Amino acid sequence: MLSIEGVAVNFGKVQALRGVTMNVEPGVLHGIIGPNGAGKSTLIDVVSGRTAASAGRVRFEGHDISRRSVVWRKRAGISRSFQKTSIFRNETVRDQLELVSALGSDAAVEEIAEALGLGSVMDAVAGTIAYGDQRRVDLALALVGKTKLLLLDEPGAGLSSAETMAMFAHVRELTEKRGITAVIVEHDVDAVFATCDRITVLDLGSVLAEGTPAEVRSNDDVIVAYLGTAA
Amino acid sequence: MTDSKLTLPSPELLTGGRAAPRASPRRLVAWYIVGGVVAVLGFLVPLVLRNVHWLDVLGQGLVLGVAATGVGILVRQTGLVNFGAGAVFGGGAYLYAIAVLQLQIDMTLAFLLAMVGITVMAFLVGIITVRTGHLQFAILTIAFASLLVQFVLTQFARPVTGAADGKILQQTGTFFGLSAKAMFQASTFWPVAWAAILIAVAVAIVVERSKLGRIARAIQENEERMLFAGYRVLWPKVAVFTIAGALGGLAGALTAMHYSFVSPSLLDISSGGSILVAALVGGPQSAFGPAIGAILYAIGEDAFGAAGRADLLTGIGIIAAIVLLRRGFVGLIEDVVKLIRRGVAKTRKGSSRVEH
Repeated sequence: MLSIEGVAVNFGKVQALRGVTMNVEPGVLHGIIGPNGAGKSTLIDVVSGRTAASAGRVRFEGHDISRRSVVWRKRAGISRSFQKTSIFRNETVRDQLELVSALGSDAAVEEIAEALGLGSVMDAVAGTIAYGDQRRVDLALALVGKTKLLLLDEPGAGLSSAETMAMFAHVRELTEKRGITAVIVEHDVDAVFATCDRITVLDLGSVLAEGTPAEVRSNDDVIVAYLGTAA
Repeated sequence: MTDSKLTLPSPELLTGGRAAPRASPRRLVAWYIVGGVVAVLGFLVPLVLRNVHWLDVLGQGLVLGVAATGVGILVRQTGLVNFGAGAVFGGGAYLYAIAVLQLQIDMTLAFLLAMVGITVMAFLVGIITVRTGHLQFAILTIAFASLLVQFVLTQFARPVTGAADGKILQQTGTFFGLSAKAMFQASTFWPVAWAAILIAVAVAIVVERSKLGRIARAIQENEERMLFAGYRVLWPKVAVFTIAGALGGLAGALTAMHYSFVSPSLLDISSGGSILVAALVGGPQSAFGPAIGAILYAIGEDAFGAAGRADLLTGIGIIAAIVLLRRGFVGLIEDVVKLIRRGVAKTRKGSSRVEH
């Protein structure tokens, strides 16, 4: 579904990504983990079109989308959420979900909102609801509108471990139900290992390891990167 | 057993957040009726107000209000503040003058040509300016207004524009049945100005309630999210800028028609400043605030002019209005209405307690 081929990103003299290559299979929940500065969010930015790659290609459903605009990618089915909550604070939850879903003629607003536990705040102004609900609105905004590939940039930011686990459970349920492939960048490693089908570990802009949660958990390079010593 | 004192929880408690205020259908109908009555009564003002001077001042205020409503639409929908509104105001006036003088066509046709011209001009300027940040936008609008003034003053344009001397218009035909002479007279110009302000306010309301307005406001609030939702964020802003520009051009064309004269002062920054100040004094957050602000501005300017200190007193008046009325005159009225309602509610509560 998504193929990233030798993608590099330079910010001045800083190399945020150094020839990253990875594949995301259709229908999976693919987690990306790594220490701060590993290039996780930059990778999401490259796939969504927010940041242009200095080198390499991004293919989506077989098409090279490296030079396509953000709008084109969204209309092709690539949707994303943001590390910092990005909602319309002055609009009601319902109004903003309907507005964002309007382009894709997606009638599933109510279904997604209910599944994310937003039913009771649908007619509330988004800026006045609890932070956890705002994060779920952020996720809902990414989910509505005929999404095929969902890119989530730290959906658990600012949430407790329990809230993050609940959020991941929602993501799992909704993506399975709607046939959506998801790539999740997350700091909460436990949530990623518990929920994702496959995991890519980034370190200093390069792929350190990739595989199932069990394979990654037992990878010596990953253990060194995270614990500073081999098991 | 049911508790007779049991009341429904507030929407805030039910939803976990503040419920969005929505006007009831009854209230909306009441607003439409009041609006319709005011719209009709407005045409009858010359029958009541016999003072030609004040009728003229208020007529000028209405025309200024048309341009200010355009500025208000732009502020409300996009958050962009146009400091160079004189460019479209004067642009509309000059395009009308050029059509009248160079093409020697009927007033109505010249007006329609000027409107098409200014709308195209606003569209092209919009494509360049609205893609920038707020500060850059403000500076670009000033630059465009200055550019037009300098162009009008060039030797190249002098035969058409009259340069610094301006141009007296020899208008032929009629404007929807009104001759140039009738357009000059305050009592016969009034219905035209009143119709223009009604159109401007109606456009502001329609834009606000339209999908375009909704999208533009969402872009104003969170442009990046709208982009990642698949919306092309440039065109809604250009569309709103074009609509606002067309209203500015309408006001300018009517001004040229009224005075049968155009000069570079219509285009310059002070002209745009008057329009912007009028919008701020009235309150750009409301569809009809800028129109009210423009009438107040025209009255104030005339009264201060009579005192012989027009610029000084107008300046003091503007500072006082903007500092004291943060949400403009309409905001002040809203606050007063709220206070009265609260007072009435308290009185009712008090009297019901006494009865119990």
